[in-house]
Amino acid sequence: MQRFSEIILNLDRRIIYALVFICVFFPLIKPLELPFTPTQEVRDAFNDVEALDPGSVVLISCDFGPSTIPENYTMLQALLHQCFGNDLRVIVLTLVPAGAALGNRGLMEAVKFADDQGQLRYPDLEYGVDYVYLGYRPGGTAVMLAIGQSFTTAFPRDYEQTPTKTMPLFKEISALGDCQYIFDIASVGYPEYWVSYASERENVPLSVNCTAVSAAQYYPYYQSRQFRGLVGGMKGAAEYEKLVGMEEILGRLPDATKGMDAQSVVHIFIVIAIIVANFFYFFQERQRAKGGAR
Amino acid sequence: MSVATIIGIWIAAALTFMIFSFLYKDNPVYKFGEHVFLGVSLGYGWCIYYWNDIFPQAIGPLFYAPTPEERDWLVLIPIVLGSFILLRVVPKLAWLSRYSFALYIGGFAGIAVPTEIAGRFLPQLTATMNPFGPDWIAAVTQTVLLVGVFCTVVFFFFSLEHRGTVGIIGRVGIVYIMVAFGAAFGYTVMARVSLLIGRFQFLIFDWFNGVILGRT
Repeated sequence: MQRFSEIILNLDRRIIYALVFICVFFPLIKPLELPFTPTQEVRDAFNDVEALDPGSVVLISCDFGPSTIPENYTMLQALLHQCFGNDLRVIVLTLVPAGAALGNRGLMEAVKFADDQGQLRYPDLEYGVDYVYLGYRPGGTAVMLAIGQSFTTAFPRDYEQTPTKTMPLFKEISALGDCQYIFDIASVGYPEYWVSYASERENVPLSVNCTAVSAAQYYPYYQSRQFRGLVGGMKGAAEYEKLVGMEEILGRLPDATKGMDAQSVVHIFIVIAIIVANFFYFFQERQRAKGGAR
Repeated sequence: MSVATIIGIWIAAALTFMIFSFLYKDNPVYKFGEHVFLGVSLGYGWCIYYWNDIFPQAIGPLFYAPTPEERDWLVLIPIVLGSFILLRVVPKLAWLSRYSFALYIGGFAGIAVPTEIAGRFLPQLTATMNPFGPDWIAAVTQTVLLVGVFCTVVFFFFSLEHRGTVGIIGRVGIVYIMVAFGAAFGYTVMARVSLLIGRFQFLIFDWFNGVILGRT
């Protein structure tokens, strides 16, 4: 037992990596379809968007870069399909430079989504009327304050350099206060600023999809209802995909949902590893104490 | 799938393997991947900043105005103030940067202080002091929250020695802080695993299935 505990406590980290590799790899190629249920904070975000009247405008801020695609991009897709499916109009922008191309790709992917027969799912969507991609503007909080005054002043041109003043959407929606909902999809600390510089100032409800790293620190905002909903990490995105019905829309398992089996298996492995390592650690400490007592 | 996409996927897969090779041990291939990443990130970031910030807000209004009369000379003010900040690297002229910083900090503080108080500080205080109820579960939750906030604040109050009652309250505060750290750690593990899953999904579905086996 003593020898075995020494082996466990001095295990080469590469063996742990190999075990994590196995735990991720096999559930991805052979899905286990472990069940998961949407949590209340994800349901709240989903229900809020569902409750918006057709024609309402949702501002989506894609404040994430390529490094968090598995957590944020899948959420962006689910949210856009929900918006377009409910006849909501969307204004998409980003406050991080790395999100500029991703936001555009995400929006266009949803707009041009076609089924197996090549039929567009949302054929009536019109750029500048039903959706707009404003792209990136530096400044963070300054941009939030600026769109609180006027979209067309803060973004005189959109991502493709088209003047925004000529767009029908901005003839009706002049500033952030005219939007009915804000959804921040973020891998950085912007959700806290969206609360104070946008949502509270302009009295527009806000929900957030953040990376799992940030989720714990945002719960106070959900508890105070400053975040109407909180979608944390890939797990939250998978729950949102389930609520939107992304599997039926895409005709395959959506990416975040596909990753949930691997997520669960790795977590089980990590919990077991922590218990085993602690058991042998305390065992060895006890043996040492016994040895010292003698 | 276009040739450009295929080449892109191959490059991305190769770079992923280069970075993963660090898990075995540090090596030149990993270093190469790391340097490529840094270089590309910097170049991409610089281009984005230049075309979204510097050009439309500084160079364009001065040198690329549609007509000479439409030149916006006012942009010279932020250009000069911005240049003063860069002068911090010149010791003899570093004092000039103080004017820029004074203006920036003064302006931003004027905006941020009332906004933060009204938008974050007061709503969070209000949420902490919600009435107990409507049912006993909500009342218990509110009590746990109130006790947690009070004890944690006491733990960070260093004007009194942490002995006796203050010490006990501070220790309860530590328990709350540890629970918060535990939750944050659990979520961090989940985040990192999510990123790993994302890379594996790319390697398995996009690279191996899509490019090597030619399946969609």
